[in-house]
Amino acid sequence: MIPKMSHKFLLIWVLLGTVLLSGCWDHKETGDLALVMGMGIDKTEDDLYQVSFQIVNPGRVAGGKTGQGQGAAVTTYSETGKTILETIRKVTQKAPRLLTFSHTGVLIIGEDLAAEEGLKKIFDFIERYHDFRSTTLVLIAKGGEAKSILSILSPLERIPAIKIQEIIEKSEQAWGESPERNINDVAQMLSGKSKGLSLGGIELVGDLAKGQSSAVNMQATPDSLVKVNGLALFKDGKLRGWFEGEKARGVAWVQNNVNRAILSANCNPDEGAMAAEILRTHTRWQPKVVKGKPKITLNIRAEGQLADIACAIDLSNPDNMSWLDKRFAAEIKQEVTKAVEAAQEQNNDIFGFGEAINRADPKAWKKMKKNWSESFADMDFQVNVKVFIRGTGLRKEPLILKKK
Amino acid sequence: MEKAKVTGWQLFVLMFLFELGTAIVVSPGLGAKKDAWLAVLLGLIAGLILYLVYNKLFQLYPDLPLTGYMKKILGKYAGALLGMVYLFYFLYIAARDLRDFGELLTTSTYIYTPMLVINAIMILAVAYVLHKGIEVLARTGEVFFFALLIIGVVGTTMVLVSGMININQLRPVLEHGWKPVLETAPLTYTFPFGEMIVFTLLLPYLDHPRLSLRIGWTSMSISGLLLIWVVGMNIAVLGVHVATRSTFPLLSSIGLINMSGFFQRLDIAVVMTLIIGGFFKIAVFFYGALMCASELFRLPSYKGLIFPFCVVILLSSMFIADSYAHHIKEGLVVATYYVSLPLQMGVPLVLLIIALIRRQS
Repeated sequence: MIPKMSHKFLLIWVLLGTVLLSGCWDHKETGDLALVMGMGIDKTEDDLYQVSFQIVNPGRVAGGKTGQGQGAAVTTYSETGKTILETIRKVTQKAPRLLTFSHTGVLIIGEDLAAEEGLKKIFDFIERYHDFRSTTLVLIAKGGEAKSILSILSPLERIPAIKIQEIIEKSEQAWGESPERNINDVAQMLSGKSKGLSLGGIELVGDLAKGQSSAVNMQATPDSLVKVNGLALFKDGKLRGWFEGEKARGVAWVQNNVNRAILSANCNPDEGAMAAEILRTHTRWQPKVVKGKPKITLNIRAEGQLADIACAIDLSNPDNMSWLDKRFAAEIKQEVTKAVEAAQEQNNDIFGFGEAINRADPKAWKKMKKNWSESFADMDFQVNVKVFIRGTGLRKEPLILKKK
Repeated sequence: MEKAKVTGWQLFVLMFLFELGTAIVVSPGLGAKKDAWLAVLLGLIAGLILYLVYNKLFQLYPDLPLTGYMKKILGKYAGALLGMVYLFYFLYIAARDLRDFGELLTTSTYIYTPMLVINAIMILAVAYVLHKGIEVLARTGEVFFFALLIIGVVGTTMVLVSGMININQLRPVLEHGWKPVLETAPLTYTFPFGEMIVFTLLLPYLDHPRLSLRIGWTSMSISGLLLIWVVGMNIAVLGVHVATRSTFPLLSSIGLINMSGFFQRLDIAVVMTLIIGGFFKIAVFFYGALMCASELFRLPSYKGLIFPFCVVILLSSMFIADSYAHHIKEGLVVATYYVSLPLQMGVPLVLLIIALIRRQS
């Protein structure tokens, strides 16, 4: 047995070590941290990164009546450097606090940077750095700089970056055009060889200078605001084009990214419009290789409710309801076909059909892998859509219908 | 040997925590890409078969630890020499596990803390428990088994519920044929299943020796299936490219959990898993080394060796590699083929064959 003395000594040592050292070595006081809510990356003309950080001013966000309404709730700093980390550290020359990224909600990348240099170089750092969370959303600044998007203040939400996050979440749920993609999704799509990538776009509407002042929050119709719009298409990590409207949603249908959506269609070419709210939808892929040629069948099933009708159709007649189903199904089919055809024109497999073919027939895929862009461009696809309009809301016959 | 007894349940728990240990965080088998889970499965099967060998040796010499029957089978000198080899091996693996532990903490949470400090605190905690003896270690295991179970159940449920699993990421199975799987299987066998060799030193403490096979097999199978699940989940969540590029895949995949912006940032659960698992892994190897040494040098008690071994393990955990890349390369190539395979597989097989022949004649 060890003598009693050293036994106690060991115990004291362990306790002291645990209490004094564990955790506290790396401690940072909350007051020393600057919470970066949004981050933007652009490229300057002399080939440096220009990184912007939207930082919370804690005093102006906190609840209570004092302080609210005076001054902006955020400050946007920006800095240039050869690497992103360099810019992060350079900010300490301006900001009195250390930048912390654990609450960063959005990462916005300038269009020029995305088109010319691509995402791979910057994403290496973003994936590697311990302070970023891979749940941060990624967006592309459409037709402009990320910096200006982050400089705009916003009504309704005091912190613009949070507002952007909310817009993305809400519009993905209710409209279904812009996808919600985070750092991990992007990293996955960048690393797979055959995987295409599409990201939501965000653009500035109105005047940049006016939007930077907190006076914008006092207007009923703001002079400038940010808007989520379009779908940025990437190939091999570089921005190659944009899809908007129908095509953008077509991509979402293919990728099973639609949660809820509004479908509008004309009853007849010269008659009024009608709209249905799609409440549940699911897309199933059936990839196969027929005689060495890839083929994919997309089976879409959607369920919804009629919301708005401006033409004379008797909705109490079941046959008419089935006619509606077909009418809306044709609408979805058109969106999907447009999207797939447009992607094929650009030789850009943004959907990840290649991976699906690989799963269906690995041997055939090995042969196609090298020239996948070409095989994708003339691959066959078939779209089967089934829509079920389950109800007609609170009324049956449309107001416009004259019943005998 | 101490005068101590360990119940079957306690041994089961110790083996379970030991097997998961660091392996659950570093995810072995990713060399086989999408088929990593198959490689782990092969490793598990090999481990189960080899455990039969360890168990048979134990049944032949129920009162002796590995170093004890080695002397009986091979003779005094050869046995002692081989015992020395095992002593160094266990010290080395304890140091490697301590290093794994320090690496994860310094890369994920304690960026600005020197690894020496983290490792020192860990090894001191281990030393304290070992100083109290094997029974205390076993009882500590019982407590932490439930802690790990809760973390595991919560983590798994969250992953399943947040719908991050994309099973398609695991397909097609055997995309590159059996070759990469078979090449990776030795690695998944030696780490962690073959490491069960250290339990040949603990089996004599078991209160019902005839249960040894059943306990070992259940414990290995359950922990092995859990490892398969974790490896598969990492790939299904992160995709094979990101998973293979990750330093700690589990940390990356658990970090993605986000349930309606409310349940998120569960990374700390992974760090806790590693602290618990790492603790038992280091402790068991440390204990193995102490047993080897006290048996070889015929010491009445191993307690005087705790502090010197503590220093040896701590310093070698710092010295064995310059960087994480060195550490992993050394572990995957040198340690596996030249050290672990012979000591985990070769020596026990030879011992068993000689012992059986001797018994016959």
